[in-house]
Amino acid sequence: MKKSITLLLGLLLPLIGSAADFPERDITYQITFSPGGGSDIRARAQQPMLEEKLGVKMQIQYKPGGGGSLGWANMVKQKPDGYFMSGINIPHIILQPLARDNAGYETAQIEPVVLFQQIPFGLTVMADSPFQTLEDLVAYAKENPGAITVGGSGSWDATHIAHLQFEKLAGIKMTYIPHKGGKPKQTALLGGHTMASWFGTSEWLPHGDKVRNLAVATQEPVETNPDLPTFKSKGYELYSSVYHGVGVPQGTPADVIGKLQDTFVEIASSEDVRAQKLKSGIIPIAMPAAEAKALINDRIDAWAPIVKEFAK
Amino acid sequence: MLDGLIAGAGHIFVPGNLLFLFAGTALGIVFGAIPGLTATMGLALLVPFTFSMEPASGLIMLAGIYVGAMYGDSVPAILINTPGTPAAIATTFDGYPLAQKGMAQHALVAAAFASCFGSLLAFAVLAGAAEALAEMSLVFGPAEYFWLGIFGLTIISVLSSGNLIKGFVTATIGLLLSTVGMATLAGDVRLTFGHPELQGGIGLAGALIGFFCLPEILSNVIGRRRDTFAGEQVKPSLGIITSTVIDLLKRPVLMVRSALIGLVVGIAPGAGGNIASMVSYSEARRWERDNHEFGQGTTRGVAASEAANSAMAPGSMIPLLTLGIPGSPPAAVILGALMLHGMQPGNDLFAIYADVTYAFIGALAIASIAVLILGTLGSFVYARIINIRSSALAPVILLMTVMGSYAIRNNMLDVWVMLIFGIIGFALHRLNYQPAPLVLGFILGPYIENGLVQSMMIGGASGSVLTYMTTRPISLILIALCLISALWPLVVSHRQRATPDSGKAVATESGKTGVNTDCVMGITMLVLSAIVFFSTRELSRFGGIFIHYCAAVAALLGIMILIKSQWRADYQTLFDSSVERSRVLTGVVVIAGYLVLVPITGFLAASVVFYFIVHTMLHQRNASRAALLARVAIAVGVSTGMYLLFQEVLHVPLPRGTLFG
Repeated sequence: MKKSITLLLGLLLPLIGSAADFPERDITYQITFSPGGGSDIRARAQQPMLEEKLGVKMQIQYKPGGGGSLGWANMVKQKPDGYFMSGINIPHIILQPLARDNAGYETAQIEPVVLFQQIPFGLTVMADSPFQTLEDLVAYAKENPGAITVGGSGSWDATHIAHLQFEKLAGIKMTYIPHKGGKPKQTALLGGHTMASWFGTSEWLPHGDKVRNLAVATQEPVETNPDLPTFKSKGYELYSSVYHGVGVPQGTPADVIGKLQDTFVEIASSEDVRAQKLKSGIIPIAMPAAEAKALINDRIDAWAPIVKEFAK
Repeated sequence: MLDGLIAGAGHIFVPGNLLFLFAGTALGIVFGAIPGLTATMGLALLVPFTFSMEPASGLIMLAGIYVGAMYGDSVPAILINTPGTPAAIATTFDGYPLAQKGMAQHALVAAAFASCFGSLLAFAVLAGAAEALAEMSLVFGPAEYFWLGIFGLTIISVLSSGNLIKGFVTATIGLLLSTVGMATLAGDVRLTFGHPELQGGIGLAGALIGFFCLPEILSNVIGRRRDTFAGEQVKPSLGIITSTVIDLLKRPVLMVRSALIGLVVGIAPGAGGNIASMVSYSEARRWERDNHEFGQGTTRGVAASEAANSAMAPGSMIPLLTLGIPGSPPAAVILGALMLHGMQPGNDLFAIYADVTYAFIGALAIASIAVLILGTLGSFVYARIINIRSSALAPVILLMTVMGSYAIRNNMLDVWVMLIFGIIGFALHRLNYQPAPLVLGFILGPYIENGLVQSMMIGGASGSVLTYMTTRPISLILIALCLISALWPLVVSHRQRATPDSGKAVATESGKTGVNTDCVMGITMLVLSAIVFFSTRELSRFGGIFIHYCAAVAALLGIMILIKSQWRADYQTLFDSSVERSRVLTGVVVIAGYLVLVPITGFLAASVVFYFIVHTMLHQRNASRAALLARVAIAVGVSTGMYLLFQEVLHVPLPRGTLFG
């Protein structure tokens, strides 16, 4: 009996020890999109700071495909010991399991560690568009149902959901045009192929005076464009953002998540990183694990009925 | 403008930065040359290093990698028929036949020279008319992409001259394969048969490696036991370099046309070098005199492809630098690097950071000269690679095919896809079907589908889809080009009637031995079409429309060749002899065994075993103990060396096993 307890302790101790000494070896940082995408560039920027603070190497590994789903399906299969983490994007990790029969993972299988930036969406038109304000656009859409083409980044992604929500809130009908990601969406608006488009704060910045934003989908005015009205101030309860962060497989010990979370929060809170992000039109945040988890659960409740209503 | 370039030159012509430029170019050539590794990966790997550098030095190095990779992909295309990146597919068409004739160095030098020429010409245009070209790039909307894709498909009429229906059959298979996975726009999951792993679609890199590289190894090395990869030994010399360059200099029209095609296609964001080099190649084949040499091995074919895909590189920089929208995946990485250095593309770039921006543009030009130098000197080394005995070289290449198809998406499924494509490629080749149209369909499928779906959506909102798709000015030009290109075979046959002794003699009946390929393919197409229809019944309107059109075409083509098979059938054999059959089948089984072993033991251990088996298989049976020991040592040495190089030096992900990391 005694022997078996010592044996059990002997087996368990290293496990407990590993959590306290974490990390002891290289950590894999998975990117669920192709090299060179926003997620990659972000991870490459964090890489030196993470390595310095954690004292181990970050192995950046790509697993693109299915809008990120292949990577997340891969992550939830990994050992939950903190040595495998993956970039996560909200709403992707919520909407994919909702919209597809089998995305290869469930949202609950991903344990968020931190969310370090937010990109709110707004409705953008070209500077020479007849729509000066959101009211102009809504009025035109009421008279000409379906005539306004509005670009977005894909199907069942953040922009698509925002579009459907806005149509419902405003009682209008427009034509949503999905694109193969954010860049073709921008080209399409600039080239006059779509009449309006759902742009993130970082997406309209490079185009300067060529584009005009009608409203942004946040609670409070955004730090990057303080004068821009919110949908809320125009009477529409529309909130839409992409959040970027990092997650680990479900079952990862809480203190390991805590250690990773603290490191990321520290990096995300540094003045340099914040200034860099604001300059690119990205809202810097440093949302710890518990808050991120609450945000995810809140969004599942908000979006499940919308996807159910439109997807099938 | 000129001031900017001079200020930029001040950054480039500093010994340190020139060194970065050459080092970047050399590294780019390596990343381009190894199938499965891409310019994009090379750039992404180096972005963190550029943080610690001056912005100008960092960008100069990135420019070198980008331009180097555009050339590097031609090296394996020429030597082992494997495009290093999709942009070099057309380079294989003449490059590999040249290498088979012992003229590998001719091809390598032609590629280096054409690459350099293409980027310099594109650079001149970029420096002069960036703003105007950027505006032009915006005109490309869904309808234009649709017609560009259709125009690309009409190239089949040139690539498979004389065998149009076969070309259409394989192209349709390619189009259908391109629809596997998530529908880009509609978001439907298609043809995955319940496997979530397939939602990412079939990887282009794995498919290309399997389709181009594996059939050659299965056929020549494993089946026919050829001693070396090429039929003839290569003897590199300085004379070859000068004569090849002079030969190409005598063909300014070919060179300029190819570079311009690359530039124009490169400006259309997203279309990229893949289409550029194919279009350029087929136009060369259409317009050059003595065009029967094309496909048999001519440096003109290599030059047409390479000048175009290298001209694309600066071309895709135009929308990036002026509009902040990258025209290609590597350009996207460079955009990221610019932003991390605090430079926002758009007007800022030319106003505030003009010296750095022009240093970058200048570096693109200097890097293309570095390519010429490194490429021509390097040709002495690379060309000799295929003189190595195939018993030693083939296992290395097989290891690289596995590594390359895995690395790009970190996905073992892609490796199996590679093997399956290899087997299909082998069979199609033996049944007298060309691989090029299938790849063309596979690449163009997404452009055509997305163009069609978006046109239907936008056209629907404006009232008429047909009006939207056909009345825009560039659409009209592209439609005209499609018609000319599609009707071209009629022009050719009219010409041939004028000179009766050409071509016709080839169509001799090969006797009624072997398989009735028309019958087999006809049934295959009908079965394929039925499977597709059956498993895509419940798709949304926009998720299903393209796939259903393709399936309908597949069924139609199936019926056509079935009818043909009844009165003028084509008979082919899959294998030359029963010995060859058992060799090839054994080879496939050994490779499949290796793929099963990899996830269990990890890449390294499995590779040692695999290398030893293949190496032994290709040698005489009765080896002495010393020779056996030597083989084990070589297997361990080569596998470990490759493992260290890729995993540790280049940081390329390799499959891990459950037994050993």
